[in-house]
Amino acid sequence: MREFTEVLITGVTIGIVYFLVAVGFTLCYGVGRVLNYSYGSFFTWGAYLAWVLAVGYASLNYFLVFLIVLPIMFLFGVVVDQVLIRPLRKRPEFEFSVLLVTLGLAVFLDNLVLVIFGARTKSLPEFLAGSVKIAGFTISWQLIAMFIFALVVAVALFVFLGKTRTGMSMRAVAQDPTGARIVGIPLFRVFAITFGISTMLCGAGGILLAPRFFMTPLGGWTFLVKALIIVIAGGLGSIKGTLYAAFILGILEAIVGWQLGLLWVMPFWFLVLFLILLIRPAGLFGATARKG
Amino acid sequence: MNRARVKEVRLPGDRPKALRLNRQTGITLGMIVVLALLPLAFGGSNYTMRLLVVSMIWGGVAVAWDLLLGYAGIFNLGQVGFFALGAYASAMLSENAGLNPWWGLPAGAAVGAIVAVLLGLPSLRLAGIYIALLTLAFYEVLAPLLTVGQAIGTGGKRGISPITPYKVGDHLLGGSNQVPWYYLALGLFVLCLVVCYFAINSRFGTSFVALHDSESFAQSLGISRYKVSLLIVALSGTLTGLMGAFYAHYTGVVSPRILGLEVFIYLVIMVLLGGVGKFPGPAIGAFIVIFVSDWLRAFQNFRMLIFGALVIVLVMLAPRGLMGAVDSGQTYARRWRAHRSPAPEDKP
Repeated sequence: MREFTEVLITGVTIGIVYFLVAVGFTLCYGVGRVLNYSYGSFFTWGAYLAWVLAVGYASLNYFLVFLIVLPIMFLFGVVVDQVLIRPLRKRPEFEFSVLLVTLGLAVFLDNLVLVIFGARTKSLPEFLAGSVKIAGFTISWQLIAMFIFALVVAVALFVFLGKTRTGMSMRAVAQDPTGARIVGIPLFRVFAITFGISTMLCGAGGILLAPRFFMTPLGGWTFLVKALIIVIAGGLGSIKGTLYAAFILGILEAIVGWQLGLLWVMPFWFLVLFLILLIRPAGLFGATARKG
Repeated sequence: MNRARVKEVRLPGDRPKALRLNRQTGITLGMIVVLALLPLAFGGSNYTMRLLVVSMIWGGVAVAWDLLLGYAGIFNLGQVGFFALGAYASAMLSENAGLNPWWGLPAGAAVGAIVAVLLGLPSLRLAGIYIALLTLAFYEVLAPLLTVGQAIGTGGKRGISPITPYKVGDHLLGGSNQVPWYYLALGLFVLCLVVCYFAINSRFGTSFVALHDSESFAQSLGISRYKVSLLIVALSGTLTGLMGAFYAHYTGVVSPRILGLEVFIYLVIMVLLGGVGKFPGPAIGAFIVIFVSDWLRAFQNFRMLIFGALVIVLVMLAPRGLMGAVDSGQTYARRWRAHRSPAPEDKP
């Protein structure tokens, strides 16, 4: 029972990090109708940039690493949106073209990592070493730091979306692009900012999870698939759905990993996804899956 | 009660377009004739023959995939999954159950069709992008599933190897003589081309054009998108599974590696390069990709870097691929000719 509670705590922590990763993905689709296939590569790049700053070429502390990497990721996202995605917006088969472009970008970025850093796995050190005993449970500081950081980013995101002008215009565009344009919201700027934020969240997730998993050039694909399953299960474009799905699947991962081994995590995730879609074809909180 | 038989009404779009000699037919027939004659020139070089066989296998898959992507507008990203499952079915039948390898071909085709239909049943009712997501999830989960499925004989991470090659009479097809393999592959490739050709140019294919132009009007004529989509997905899955089965026995090994990113991206480039929805184009794309990839072998890691960049460039600058370029080239040529020789009434 005691072990189970510790597994549960790990699951909740993984859940909140998955939420961070998946919410960027769903935001991108909800606001800009962009299905970003290179999401996994952004994840890898976030982790590798952090590695360069914290281990490889300098030994900055994590606070500085976040402070440097996140703006870089944001700018990178904006550039990708402007150069690759914006020109495609006038095409009739926009969503599919974007899927293909980002797929190409993913392969390009992953292999760029491979060429620059080599195939050998790298690992980031833990943020904080050691563990602490709370109410009889042993919890590592690393987990607590992860949880707190993810929580801060998640709360900041909700405040941003709910209270600031940019966040509100993002929500307006998500609801009705034409209406948003009529009231004078610059669509393309909102798309670019959304893509930047999404990239930034993904990079943050990459840094947070890198100490837990090893970093490999192609490792981002697992997280793309995970983000994908979370997002479909929660309902594409729904932030609330993503939140629930991330926690359900995060806890499931911790339990399955503890009982059966990590290899079984993906089959179980797919099973849960399948069950959810059987009952609700649009995901937990999705409304737009069926056409017409 | 007597039910009056109504004579079938023929609409302009109903006219059988098949077997009319146009560019599509011409290129397809020309390709088949050239491929049938190629062993005369390269029959001695096992290396070239091998590349050609692989090109034909993937060419068949690319054409079958394009049937969904380019014609039916179904964004199925799980095509490699059908291929892998066809290959696994055939390999498991011959290695674990001890059946004659030839049975693997219909079995692979059947598995491809069944999986395609099972995947299509829930997903085809959804909007386009959801199909892409679901099929992508299917494709990505397949490799871990096949690894875990060691208990039912998938061979885990290492897959199944070696796989018995086909036997013609008493003669076992080996690696040293590629010519029989070549003609076998050509037969399957031609089968794919012919089936796709008739699917595109039949009432079946026309109904997709109708659905695309005006969904409600097409539906009022009794065309159900769901049914037609399911049929075409089954057809595409059948052909892909068939090619997978052949691939397993040709290469003698199947493993989860076939579900890797590299194969997927190759297939994407084949279709993009040939032209999405430009019928024999993706098959031509397959030949180009396989030969260029072999030529770039020396670049190792840079090869995938180049291919990734190629996908971006193709989507951004040439979304209609080679066949699209041929089309627009002809339009320009016609315009240029019209410009050069003014209309007759202008002459004195």
